[in-house]
Amino acid sequence: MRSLSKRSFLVSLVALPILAYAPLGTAAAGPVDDGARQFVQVLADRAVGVLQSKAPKPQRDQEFAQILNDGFDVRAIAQFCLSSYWNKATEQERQEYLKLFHDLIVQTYSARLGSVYHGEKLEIGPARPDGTQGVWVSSKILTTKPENEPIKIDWRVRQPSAKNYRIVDVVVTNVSMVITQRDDFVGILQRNGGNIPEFLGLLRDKVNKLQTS
Amino acid sequence: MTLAAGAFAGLLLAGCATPPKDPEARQAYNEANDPIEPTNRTIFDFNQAFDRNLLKPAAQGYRDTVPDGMRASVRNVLQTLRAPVTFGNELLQGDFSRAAETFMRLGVNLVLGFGGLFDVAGKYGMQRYEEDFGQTLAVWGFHEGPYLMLPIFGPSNVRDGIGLAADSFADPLGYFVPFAASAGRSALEGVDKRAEVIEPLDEIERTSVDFYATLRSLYRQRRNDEINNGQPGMNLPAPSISYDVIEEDKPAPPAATSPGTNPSPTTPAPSSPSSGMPSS
Repeated sequence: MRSLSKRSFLVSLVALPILAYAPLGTAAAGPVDDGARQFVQVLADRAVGVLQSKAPKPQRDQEFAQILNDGFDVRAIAQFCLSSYWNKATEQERQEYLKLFHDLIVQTYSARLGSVYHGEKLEIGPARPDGTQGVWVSSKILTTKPENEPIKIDWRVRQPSAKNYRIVDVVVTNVSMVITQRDDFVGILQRNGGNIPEFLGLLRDKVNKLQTS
Repeated sequence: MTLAAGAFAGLLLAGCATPPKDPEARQAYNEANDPIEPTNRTIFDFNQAFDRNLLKPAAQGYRDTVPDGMRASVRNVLQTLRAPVTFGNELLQGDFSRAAETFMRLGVNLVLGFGGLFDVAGKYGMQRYEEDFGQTLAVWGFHEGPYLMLPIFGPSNVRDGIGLAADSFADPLGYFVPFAASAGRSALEGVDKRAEVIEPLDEIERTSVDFYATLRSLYRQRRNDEINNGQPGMNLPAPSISYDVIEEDKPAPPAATSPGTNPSPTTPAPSSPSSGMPSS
C-alpha cells in the first residue's frame, strides 16, 4: 500500500529540492521576520514560565500584566475593540476605558490560560507578510495527548521601530481574539443605544468580579 | 403544528429589532447581522436553562463516569456514522480528493476498525474531515443570512439552519434505523460535544461582558474557518498601531539603524509601521 511507485519517486525527486528551497526563500525575507518570530518565542516562554510557577493569583496577574505591556499594543487593541464608539467617548471616558480594558484582559487571559494549560508546548513556525503592515508569526500548540490535533495560533506582529515589536492580535484556529472582544463590547453598546457610561459601569462590575474571584 | 408555526412567526415579528438611525449604531447593527436579536436572546435564555439543568450535567456525568478509552470509541462510532453525510457534501462541493479520502477512511474503519469502534485510519495518518450542507451552500456562494439562535441546537444562521435540516433529511442512516435510534444518536453527539468544552465555555461565560454577543462572534468566525477548511481566509481588520510605542522608543531612532525607515510619529495610520519592515 505504501510502496513507492516509480512515478511518485520521480515526483519526490522534483519536489524535494523545491521543498528544501522553500524555507530558504522565507528566510531570505530578512532578519525582520526572524526578529518577530524570536519576539513571540520569548514572550510565549515568559507566559509559560508564569503558568508553571503556580504563584498566587495577585502575583500571577501582575506578571501577566507585565508580559501584556511588553508584548502587546494594548492601547491600539483597546481602541479597536471600542470600534466607532471610541470617537464618541470623552477624554475622561477613554482614560477610564483604557484602564478597565487593560485589567479585563489581564484577568481574562490569566484565568483562561491557567485553566487550560497542562504542560503543552508552543512551536513557532514560519512568518508570512501581513500585507505591507507587518507579519503573521505562525505557531502550533502541541497538545499532551497525541491523538489531539495541534492547535494553530497566529500572532499578528507589528514593528513600530527597529528594536520594537508589538502584537496587535492573536488568532486561534482562525478565530481572532481581538475581533471577539470587539464584538462583545459592541454587542452591548449597540443594544443600549451607545450609552458609554452604562457600558463602562458593566465593564467595571465585570473587572471587579474577576479580580476578586 | 400550524398553531405552533403561527406562534413562532408571531414571535419572530414581535422580536424584530428596529434598525437604529445613529450611524455608529447602524454600522454595529449591520455587522451583527442579527435583526431578530430580541427573539434570539429569548431562545438563548431558554437554551441556557436547558444547558444548566440538563445538557451540562449530562456531559459532566458522561465525562466523569465513562472511561477515556470508551468515550474515544463512542466518538469514533459517531464520527463513522457522520462520514456518509461528509462524503456527500464533499462531492457536492466538488472536492473529489477529499471525498475519496473520506470514503477510504470509512472503509478502513468499518473493516479493520470493527465497524468504526477504532480509528484505524487515523493511526495510518488519514485525515478526518467534517462537512455539512451549510458549508456546501457557502461554497456555492450563499451568504449566511441573518443570525439565528436555534432551540437546543444553539447558534446558527439561515444558511446553516437550512443546511442542518437538509443534512438530517439526506442522511442515509435515517432511513434504515428507527427514529428513536436517530434521536439517541443526536443526543449522544450533543453530550459528547458538550463534554469537550465544559471548561472553555465556563471561562468564556465568566469573562465576557455580553456572553450572547461573544458566542455570536465566535460562531461566525468558527464557521468561516470550517468553510475555508482551516485556511486563513479573509483579511481580518487589525488594530492600527498606536504611536505611543514609537515615542517610547526614542533612544533607538529607527531611521538611524536601517535605511528606508522613517515612521513619522504624527501618523498613527496602519502604514507607518510597515516602513520599519522591509519586505525583501
